[in-house]
Amino acid sequence: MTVATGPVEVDQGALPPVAQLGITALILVVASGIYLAAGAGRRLNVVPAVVALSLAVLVVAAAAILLGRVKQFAWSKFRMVCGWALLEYAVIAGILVYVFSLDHIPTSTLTLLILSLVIFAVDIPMMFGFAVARYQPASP
Amino acid sequence: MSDTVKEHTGPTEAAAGPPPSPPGLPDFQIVPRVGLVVAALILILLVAALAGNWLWALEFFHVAGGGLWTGIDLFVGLAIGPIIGSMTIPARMEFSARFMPKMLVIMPTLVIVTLAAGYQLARHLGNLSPLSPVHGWLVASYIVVGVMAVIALGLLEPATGGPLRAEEGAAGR
Repeated sequence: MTVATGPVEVDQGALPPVAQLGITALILVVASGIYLAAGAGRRLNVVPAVVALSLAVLVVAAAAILLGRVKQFAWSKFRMVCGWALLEYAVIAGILVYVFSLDHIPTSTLTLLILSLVIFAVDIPMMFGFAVARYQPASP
Repeated sequence: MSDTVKEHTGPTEAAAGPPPSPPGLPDFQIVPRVGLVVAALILILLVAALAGNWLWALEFFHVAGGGLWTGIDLFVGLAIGPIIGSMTIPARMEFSARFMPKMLVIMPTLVIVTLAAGYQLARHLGNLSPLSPVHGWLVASYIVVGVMAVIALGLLEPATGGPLRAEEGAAGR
């Protein structure tokens, strides 16, 4: 006797809080970016931006690790959405880095802005991929 | 990345792989390749404008890009959105299958040309300086855009996708 198997639905209750962690990291990055942009052209204390970005890195890393441990998930859909979004945000981040480098921004500020863009370019695709894949049938 | 979706024509015997697309969905590319070429051309022109410090080009990119960005947002939100809301699920799926791939290319292109050209324009006009009389307005605009980005990316995108996909699942699609 054969048993018919259909698509395996992802257990929503077992998913880690990727969206919430992603939003938290997004808020930290945006706040840091606004702080740095608003302070452009004058001597700026970069400590608040460093703290915010450090927290954002930890939050994004935690979200990625927790998501990576999920076994039953639509990984093929996640990789597809995440891949295209990563390409998009890599292009956006690259052009913004080019703009900042044209303006001869101080090295410390430029480093923090580049880090902000890198975190942004990783966090958003992960959130997009998760938002789509969580409601799709699980795949390897 | 395998992202071309084929129209479902009948029962399949394959036991592995993702389920077939629901009936009635058109054949579409999630990211249209032709659109990527057009977007690449626009971005090349943007980089040329940035590198050459062409004020007229920066103004064009910022004003036209920003106008289109805001106009499309308002039109889709106030006109298209309610229309889609009144459509059946299969009709929404068919519309979205044709509409969203184009939006995936159009909107990020508009965003990047608006932001990049705008920042350079502000630098040229001296508005980035803390001594500029409009510096406060610029900071306010950063905050508004930042809040909008958080709401759109963190709340609206997962919220609109989730209920619709759950509804599709409940309807067996």
